Amino acid sequence: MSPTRSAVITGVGVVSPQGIGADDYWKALCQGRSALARIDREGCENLPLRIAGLVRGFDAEEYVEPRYLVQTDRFTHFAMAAAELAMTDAGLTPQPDDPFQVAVVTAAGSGGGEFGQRELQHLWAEGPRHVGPYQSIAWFYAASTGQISIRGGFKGPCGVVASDEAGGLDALAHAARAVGRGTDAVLAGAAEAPIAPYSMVCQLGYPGLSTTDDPDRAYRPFGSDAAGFVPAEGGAMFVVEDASTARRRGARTRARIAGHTATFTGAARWADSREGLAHAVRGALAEAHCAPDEIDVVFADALGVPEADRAEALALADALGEHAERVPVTAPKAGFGRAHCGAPALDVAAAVLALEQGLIPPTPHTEDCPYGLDLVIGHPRPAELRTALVLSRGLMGSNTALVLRRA
Amino acid sequence: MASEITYEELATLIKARAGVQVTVDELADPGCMFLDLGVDSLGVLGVLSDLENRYGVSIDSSDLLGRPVAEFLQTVNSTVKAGA
Repeated sequence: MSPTRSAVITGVGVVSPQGIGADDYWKALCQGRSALARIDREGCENLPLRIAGLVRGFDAEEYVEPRYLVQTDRFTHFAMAAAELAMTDAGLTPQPDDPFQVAVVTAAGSGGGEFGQRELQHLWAEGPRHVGPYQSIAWFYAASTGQISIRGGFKGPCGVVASDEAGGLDALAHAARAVGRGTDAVLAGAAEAPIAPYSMVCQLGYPGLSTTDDPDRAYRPFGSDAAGFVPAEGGAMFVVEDASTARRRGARTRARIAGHTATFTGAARWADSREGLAHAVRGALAEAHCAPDEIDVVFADALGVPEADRAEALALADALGEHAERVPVTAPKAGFGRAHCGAPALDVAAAVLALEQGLIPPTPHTEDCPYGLDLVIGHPRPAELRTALVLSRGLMGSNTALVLRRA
Repeated sequence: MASEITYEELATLIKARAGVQVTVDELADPGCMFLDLGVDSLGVLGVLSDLENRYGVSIDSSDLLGRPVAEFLQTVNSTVKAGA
């Protein structure tokens, strides 16, 4: 990142199973509430995946104009809504006179499964002439970047990060680099909607998927009784801006993006992810000029697969030394599931709020932690928080660490 | 038997397939173009294929965005009539 330009977060937009909007999300996280429930959607009843985090009470028409609604999947509705919320939070409006100064970067892995399934059903039931033309764009994992950019007229260096779940963090790093190279503001983040029949079937092959039928026991990351992970829908978008540009226009800085590193260690090779994640943490700390003991809280990847949880704890010990035993670690997503690329974006939203509020939200459901970590469970924990470390690993082998500093 | 497609029906179809609310007066204006209404090429294609499926005809799809809406409807109606 350029020494003269630095990237700050000025807007946070959340669409999650724990609420819509950053305030509702934060309130639910601090209450340690669980949003995990049986999947009750049509066509999903007879699949072996029973529990997930579903976004309830989301009225797409409230956030997305009809002409975009007809051509987009639910995952793009989430992204467009989160982007709108983030822009409102940042007080950022479209810049018709200077469209090249604003960009959009998103990550997605699941794509538009619900829309795609509907059109494929038309294909096989009625024939190719009955497939709607918007199928050509709606299923595509790049759709959210495209539609947010078209709606707002944002013509800066837009991009789509395809790097597995950790892409939710990589999108923010991509945005920070764009800001470093001269773009004033970037809408960055990730949202997913993988709880529809076709998308769910695509996930059934993941060995780490929890098929437990009890919302309280399905996802207990770091617990001695961890039984895998549950998926979720939703995500978060952010306004990432150059610090001095933000200051000039009187925007409130919510956090600074201080460091990032991504590595790759292969699909579902959790023991190997230890080395990859440790390397990512060291790299992110180095870029942030941050000593290990400056990390005040860790938002863990928390897969809920014992081998992966152990590897994450060991990676923290490798990268942070003795500080790994002392630093509070939390995984609020235990209360609502993993929204794939949206999961680390939602963790960043939680980390920004934690830094602001001096409060660490707990890890719901999990009752113990046999890995020597100070896992925050039960109640939120007040703490002086200046620096947060957010971790994410993808099922396909990506490992990313992001360091955030308090504004 | 196929009957003439009206501006009302076209407006309903545009709303359903392209998500754009338009009035009959707008559509009937001889200079009105799809792009002016905010209907993009994929939206027009959706309207076109819907009509083709409904009437079992193949409608000339060249230069959809370059032709006024009124001309488009004329083509549709003459094709449907010829095909009926």
